Amino acid sequence: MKLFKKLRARFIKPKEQDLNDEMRFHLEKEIEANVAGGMNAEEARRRALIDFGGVQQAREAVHRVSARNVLESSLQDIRFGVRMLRKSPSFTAIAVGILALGIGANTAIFSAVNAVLFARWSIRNQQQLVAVSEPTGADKGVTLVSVPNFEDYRRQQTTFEQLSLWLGQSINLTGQERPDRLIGAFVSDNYFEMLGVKAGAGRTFLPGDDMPGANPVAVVTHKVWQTRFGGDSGLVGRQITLNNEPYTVVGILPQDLTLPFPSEVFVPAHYYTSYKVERQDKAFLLFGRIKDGTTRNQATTDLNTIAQRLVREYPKENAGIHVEIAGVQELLTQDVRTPLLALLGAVAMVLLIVCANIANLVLARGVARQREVAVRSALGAGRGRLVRQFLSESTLVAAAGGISGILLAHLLLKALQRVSPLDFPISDTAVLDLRVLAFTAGISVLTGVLFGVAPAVRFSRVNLSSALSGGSRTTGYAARDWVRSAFVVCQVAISLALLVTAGLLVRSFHGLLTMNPGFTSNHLLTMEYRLPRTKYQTGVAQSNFHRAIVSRVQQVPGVVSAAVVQSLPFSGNWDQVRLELPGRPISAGDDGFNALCDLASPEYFSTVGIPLIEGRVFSAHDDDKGAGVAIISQSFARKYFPDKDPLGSEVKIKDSHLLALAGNQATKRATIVGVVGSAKQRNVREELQPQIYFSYAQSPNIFGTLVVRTAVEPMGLSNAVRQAVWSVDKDQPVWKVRTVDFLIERDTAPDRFAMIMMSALSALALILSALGTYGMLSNAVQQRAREIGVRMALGATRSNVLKLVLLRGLTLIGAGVALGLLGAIASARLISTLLYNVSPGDITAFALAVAVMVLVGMLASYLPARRATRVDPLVALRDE
Amino acid sequence: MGEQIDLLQGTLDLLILKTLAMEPMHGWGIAQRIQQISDEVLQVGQGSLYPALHRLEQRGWIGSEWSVSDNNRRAKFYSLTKAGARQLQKELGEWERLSAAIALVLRQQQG
Repeated sequence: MKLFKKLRARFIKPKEQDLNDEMRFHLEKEIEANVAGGMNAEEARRRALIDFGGVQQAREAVHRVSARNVLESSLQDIRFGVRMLRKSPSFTAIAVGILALGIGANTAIFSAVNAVLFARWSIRNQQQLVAVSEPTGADKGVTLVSVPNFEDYRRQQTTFEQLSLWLGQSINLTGQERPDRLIGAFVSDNYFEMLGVKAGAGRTFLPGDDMPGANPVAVVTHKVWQTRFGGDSGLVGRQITLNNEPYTVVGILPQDLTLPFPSEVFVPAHYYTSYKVERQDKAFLLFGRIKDGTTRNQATTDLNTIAQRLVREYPKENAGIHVEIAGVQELLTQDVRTPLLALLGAVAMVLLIVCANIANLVLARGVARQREVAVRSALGAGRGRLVRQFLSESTLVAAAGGISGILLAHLLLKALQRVSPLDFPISDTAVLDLRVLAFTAGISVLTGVLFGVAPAVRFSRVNLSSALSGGSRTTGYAARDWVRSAFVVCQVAISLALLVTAGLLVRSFHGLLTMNPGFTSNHLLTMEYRLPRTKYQTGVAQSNFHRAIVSRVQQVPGVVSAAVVQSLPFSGNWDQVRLELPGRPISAGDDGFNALCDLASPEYFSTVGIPLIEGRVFSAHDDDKGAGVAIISQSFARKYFPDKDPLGSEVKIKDSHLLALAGNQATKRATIVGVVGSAKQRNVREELQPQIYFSYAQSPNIFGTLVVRTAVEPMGLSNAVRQAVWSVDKDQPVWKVRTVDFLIERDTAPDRFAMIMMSALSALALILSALGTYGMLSNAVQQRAREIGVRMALGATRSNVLKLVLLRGLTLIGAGVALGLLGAIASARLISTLLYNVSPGDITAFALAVAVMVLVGMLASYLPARRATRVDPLVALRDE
Repeated sequence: MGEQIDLLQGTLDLLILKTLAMEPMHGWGIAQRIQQISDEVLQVGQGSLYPALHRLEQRGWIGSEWSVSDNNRRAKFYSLTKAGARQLQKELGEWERLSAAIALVLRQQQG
């Protein structure tokens, strides 16, 4: 600052002073000469001034000569701008306030988008990180890959730095005070090398760690080290018990490390309990880092060449596969991309409304300033200079709005994090970083120019004589009014489009809330567990455990009933099975008939409230000694037994992990003994799928989900239920203790978030455009007070006047609504993927939005119209 | 006073340089001198004089310093620099060639 002052003193001040002195000297000499020529002092001075021409013009002409004066005149403009703004504090306050709202909302949403869509991980060149899928035919999304295929890709590829297997599954940590569950990842030994992540202490995996026979090793995160091992300085090298087996901790990851898949403990892939080196056993996700300078297309081509070879060599296991590559970042954000971008678009629209509002304010104020502009222009200010002056004023307002906007954004971001759903990844990382600040600075300047240009151009073109002669009421009225009307129409149009969008989202969310999942979701408590295979080695042992906890939990006071199921609806778990159906042969290469598949204990259907339609549910006799049985859903019956009673029919399963006990192991056949109601499984938006249930006791599994119907508030029983589980095995961790209602809430949270945000934004837009309409009409009434006075003097009634103004308001709103409907149709199409059971052209949403807009618009027009009727003709005309 | 003629920019530069070749002078003096010598035909407006002076100064053809004028007032005096003197010679030569050429053309048309 000191340096700046010095520089200014050196270059600018003396120059300006010089110039003034020089001009004054010139003037004085001229006066002297005139006096010497015989004029009196007064006349001499007048003549000299006339001869001298515009002082200001001369000075500006000199200024134009010298480039360094740009800085100087800009400083002048800014000083002048500050002065002008301070002279009209209410205008400044309103403009800065509205702008802060607009910029604040934009900054907050942009920073959320920035944090989610452009999340930065502690990974080198994260855009090179991709997921490799082997979809068959029309399959979409990420698919799993077998170990042998992975090894072939890894050996033969030329376009990847690393290819690595990944599989996320919870891992039990025992041998500590309390059995616990960690978010685990089974990975190839080059996983950390692929990410480019080094250990904070010890090492990550080395080549060979993932070879069968190697010592079991594990890498844990800094957080696990702190929270589960109390920051034990000797943890590296220590043995810990994971899934009931000893592992040596070889490394701790650095603090504050952010990874795309935030696991807590990492172990080599071959320790995965169902690890099999078989081509038909597709169990892992495949990730890779593409070499720098190689494109995804090149990498895809490279792997596809290998895939085609694999299809030829192993036609049975690899039938129809090809390779697809997707960026990990895009993959992780694909669900939230559309809602977030929709919000960003909506909030940008709100900013446009803000700009139009302020431009209208500036235009309204400009009427009062017309004289001032005319005077300045008469004194020789060039048109360019006037435009610059106006723009520096609006830039000042924009800058003030921007700074207050950032402060506001900070608060808004906190609110945003509060309404943002738990699994919706707006995390604490949504901070105001440099990218966000640059964005805010950018939009601030842009808005300043946007709302400054129209008035600037408009007012720099004043008609000197009429402006100076005092006729400010009529000068340029029509043209400016036209511009201002256009602004109002645009505001209404944008608001309507946002209202329709919000209405659609509200309708869609309402649909989600009232959807029928096929069972009774309230009063259900659930938790998950995974038995250590070493402790529960046989299917019978596993099955006995499931049965034991059900009977213990059922004795807990407050529990109505309890059951064990493999994949509870909306839990995120689900499984699919391929079947052969009687009398419907499967051609070679065909996948068979697909159905969602689940394992359930006998109590499951009555516990969650899935109705039995026909036949029976499982019984205690459907165990390893009984013949294989299955229960199908109505949707299954409809699809695969359209004209036949399914009861008594036999299905043959093609997958190995089901019906793996005793006699059923050989035949893999199950008889359909019952038909139950269809239920949603994977998410609340899902269309009902064919479902088939097998008896838990006939297809035992180490994994189980306990589901408990309670007579009281479900979470209140969580400790008692956990204790009941521990009374069977005190070392058995349970996790994901939650209610089914919570699962549904979680599933609909992004919809809820989008709905709340869009509603808030459209409400903001509605208020702003109502203010805009109101302001514009009030101002018009003020300007036309004389005309209205004349009309009334000539006999117009108050209701005539009321109609006059109302009609004008309604014309604007009507035009805005018409334009807005076009915008609404377009924006509804853009968000159509977010809608559940609502068509993008939903009449109700459109009609409601139009009704709200028109009502609010009428209110905004009525107030100025009423004021117009109070115009006193005498007062209005007295000015003449 | 006869009809006054507006000066072309280049011409004004030349006149200023020529006037300053006699002695250092302040802005008002330069304007007066040009007016007097041209028998009041050439009128120098301040709107063009001072920008011209600053332009010439920026090019280094004239220098300026503040000193005291004939009746003890502070005034900014301009003087010709060496580069300015060279420029004056160059422009004088060009001017003579140009006016001779114009005269030739005009005579032809009259004849």
